[in-house]
Amino acid sequence: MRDRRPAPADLTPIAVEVLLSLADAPRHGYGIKLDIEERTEGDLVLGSGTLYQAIQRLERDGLIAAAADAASDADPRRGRVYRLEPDGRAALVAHLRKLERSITFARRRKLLPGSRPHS
Amino acid sequence: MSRLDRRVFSWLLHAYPRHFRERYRADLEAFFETDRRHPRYGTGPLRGVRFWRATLIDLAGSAFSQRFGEARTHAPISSGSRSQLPVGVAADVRQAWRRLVHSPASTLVAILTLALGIGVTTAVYALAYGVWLKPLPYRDPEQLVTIVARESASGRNAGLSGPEFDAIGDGGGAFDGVAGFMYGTNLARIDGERVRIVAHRCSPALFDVLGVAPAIGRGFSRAGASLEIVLGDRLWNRQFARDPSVIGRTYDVDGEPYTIVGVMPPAFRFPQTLEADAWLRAPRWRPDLDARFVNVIARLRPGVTLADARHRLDVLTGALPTNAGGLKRWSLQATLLAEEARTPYARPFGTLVGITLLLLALACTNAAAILLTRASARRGEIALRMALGATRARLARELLAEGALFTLIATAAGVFIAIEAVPVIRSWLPAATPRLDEVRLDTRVLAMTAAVSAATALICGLVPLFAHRALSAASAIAGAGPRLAGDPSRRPLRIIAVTEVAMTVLLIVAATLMLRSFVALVQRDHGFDPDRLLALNVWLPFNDNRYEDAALRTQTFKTILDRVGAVPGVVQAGATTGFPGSAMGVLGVATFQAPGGPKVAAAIHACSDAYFAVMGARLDSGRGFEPRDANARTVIVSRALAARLWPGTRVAGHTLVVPANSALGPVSETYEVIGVASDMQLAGDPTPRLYVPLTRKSTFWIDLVVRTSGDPRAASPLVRAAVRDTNPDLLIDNVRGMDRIVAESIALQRAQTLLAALVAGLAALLSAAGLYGLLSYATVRRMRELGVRMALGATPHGVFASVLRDALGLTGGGAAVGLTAALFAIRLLGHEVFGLGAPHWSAFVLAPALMLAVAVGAVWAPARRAATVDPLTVIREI
Repeated sequence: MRDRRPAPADLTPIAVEVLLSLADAPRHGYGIKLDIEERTEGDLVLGSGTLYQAIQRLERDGLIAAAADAASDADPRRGRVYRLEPDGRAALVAHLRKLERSITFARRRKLLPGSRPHS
Repeated sequence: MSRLDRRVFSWLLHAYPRHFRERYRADLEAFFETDRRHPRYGTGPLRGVRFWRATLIDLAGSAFSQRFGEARTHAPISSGSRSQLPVGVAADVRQAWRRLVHSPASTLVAILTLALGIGVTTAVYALAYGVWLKPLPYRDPEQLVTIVARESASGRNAGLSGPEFDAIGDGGGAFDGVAGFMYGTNLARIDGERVRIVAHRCSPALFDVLGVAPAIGRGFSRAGASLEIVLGDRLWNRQFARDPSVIGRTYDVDGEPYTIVGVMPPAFRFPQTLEADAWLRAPRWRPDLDARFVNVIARLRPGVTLADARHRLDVLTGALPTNAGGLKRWSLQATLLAEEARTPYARPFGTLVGITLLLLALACTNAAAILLTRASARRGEIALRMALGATRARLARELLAEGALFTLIATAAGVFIAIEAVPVIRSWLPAATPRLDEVRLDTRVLAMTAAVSAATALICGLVPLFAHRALSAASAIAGAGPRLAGDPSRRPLRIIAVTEVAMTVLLIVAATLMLRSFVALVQRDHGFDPDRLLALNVWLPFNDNRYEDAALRTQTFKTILDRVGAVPGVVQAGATTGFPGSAMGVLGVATFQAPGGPKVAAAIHACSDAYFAVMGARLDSGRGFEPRDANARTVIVSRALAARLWPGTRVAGHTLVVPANSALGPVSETYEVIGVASDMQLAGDPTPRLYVPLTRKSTFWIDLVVRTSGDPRAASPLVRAAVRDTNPDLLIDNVRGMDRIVAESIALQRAQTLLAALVAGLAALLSAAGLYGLLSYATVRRMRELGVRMALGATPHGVFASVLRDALGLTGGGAAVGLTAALFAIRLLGHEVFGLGAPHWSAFVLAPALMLAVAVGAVWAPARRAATVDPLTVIREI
């Protein structure tokens, strides 16, 4: 199963958010949930089942992994800590590139206001 | 509370497939623990509800996709839509929830309807299971048989005599074990205090045959002649405060020292139909052939069928010991104990379960109808989504999710209804019903509820689905706009309406018939007047040898009658052996024959002179007993006996031969019939009875009946005191008002009728609500069509009539189906289920009339509106 990696386009919205959360630091499950909630301003609230289902897929596809060496600083009451794998980072970046293309296009068509306020 | 929450959640994780659960259990539990503190769930008492709602929706959605989406997602992910499935299912559930909350009124009605159906079904099933279907609490209860002796001539059943019991042996190899027992009420003495206990004498093998071991101590020794007693839990609790050191102590029963060897567990009950405080070891039975007191229970050897056992008993019957001259021939009859215990309850509970299932079906139909109308109202939305590419499977999933969520909530509410309903229904049943106190909502009952609601969920989800099955994107969009006629979504609604009416009519007819036969039962002439009548048993002291003297017994009873008769508030007192409904039964049964007539078996009673007057029984002809009968051989016969022996002739003056070895004496004697008394009987066909003066056959106990001027219960303490004044050692038992005895005798039928009426009432209510909703909805949907018709020249009157005709046609069709079904049911189940007599026409008119009235009520307002609609307004909308 490992031999065929999913194309970046196959990332589900939840998977993208999980990868984004892990991009800056390894987190435990609930940490991921809180981060996503904060970033999306409460638009995406994940339940345990939905979250771990996404985690299961990402783990299986080799995009994230449970941080075995982080056991020392992991709080056992919060569950395992996950970190982003290189494949995961690549998939995320590929996905964001596609999004960026779409957004650039949308701006050109005046579907979105302004053009890159931060750059 | 939080620990309970955690345990519930851990248990709920079983919804996930094993590999997922094992990998993430700790993580999921940690998540759960942390999430409960999330501020999102707010504060206040509803915080827990919000938290659990979110948790359950997430769990249901992700578990569903793990189980049913996983097979595919195990394979490499190849298409985006598939990997989105899990989110999709959770979203389905969430969306279903939103839709339920969106239209709270119809949701509430539908959920309440279903909850009532599920609740009543669960409660009735809990009772039916506990009393009727639950296996008896013995090892392999289906292997146990009871054996009675049947008199070939009269066909009556009796216990076995000692020699007959010995003759059974192992039943020619049919039985693994055989035990006898004899009903008994005994006087026990504990630390000088005298108490009455119900203790049955039993073969040493009894507990082994039943396969139940004592909770503490041991069962009876198999050999020897030792006097041993095994206590029941209740007696142990009452008299010994559950002291385990009672084992080995001596217990004085009827003046004999019994050693306590064991205590049975609380749930042990034997025999099933009778309370027992203790069991006494009886190593052997009296060798007297006429003492038929031994009841027999045996365990079939593995592989031996009941038919085999019966056959081998028949062979044994040929070798049974007979008394002098072999005049009486008895045969041995084996019956399965389980069957014997179930038979009295099969009919009432079978009927009730059937009726409640019908109610449940009705509730299901109702809920499905509500979901259907909601789905119909969403046709536009569905059409749009299909046009935008939503697959049919996706829509089906949504509808199923809605049905499932719906049913889940209704089931929870239904279980609460059942929890409340079980004690109420239980209180309607006769208090003497075996195992009534054990009735509860146990796992088996709840498993049935779960199965029922799973089926309900499927129906509730599938019905709207079928309604939409013809929906293609194109036709749906076309249908989303105004339609003129032949609306395809109306057909399922029509079918539902007809089904609903049919089921309700069937239920109402059944309940009406039951009610009628119950009323007949209540109005039955019992042959005596139960009002202001007190009844009680009085026993002479068991261990007082003076009472071996018959003259003293007669004198004692006379004194009691005199003293009770003198109590203020007492009109008159009488005595008998076995009044109708007495716990004591009869003195004996004997066969009588008029010259050239048939043999008639009759029950023998002894009674005081005033007995018939006190009971308010009528003497059809002749006279009652008088003091001069004390030493004469005179009898009074019941009307039923007179009619069988001397049909159509004057009875007084006839003579009657009482056969030898009857309850009246060892030799055959001739008696003069002096009168005929009315049949005193609580239920069933009147038993032929024969009465002799109490002085003729004095017993060790009497049934006292006391006519009072006021409330008999108020007189009870004075009556008791008057009896005790005669001799403080006398035992008084079963003090009850006769009206209560009469009520108890029909309590089972009363409970059955009450429940049936309740169910029919609920059904009428549910289907009235359902029909109202369906018909008014259907009429509103026809508004445009009607407007066009009026524009084309139809008169308001014609439109009104057309709407009414449509509704009455549907209802009439349903009523016809329901009546046909009712006729079939009556033909099939006959008066077994529906009670006495021929079905009355009123039942067949009432139900359809009720449904037609509901139908008219439902369409009246919409029809009026349709008739007054402005055609131009409607046309403009097209």
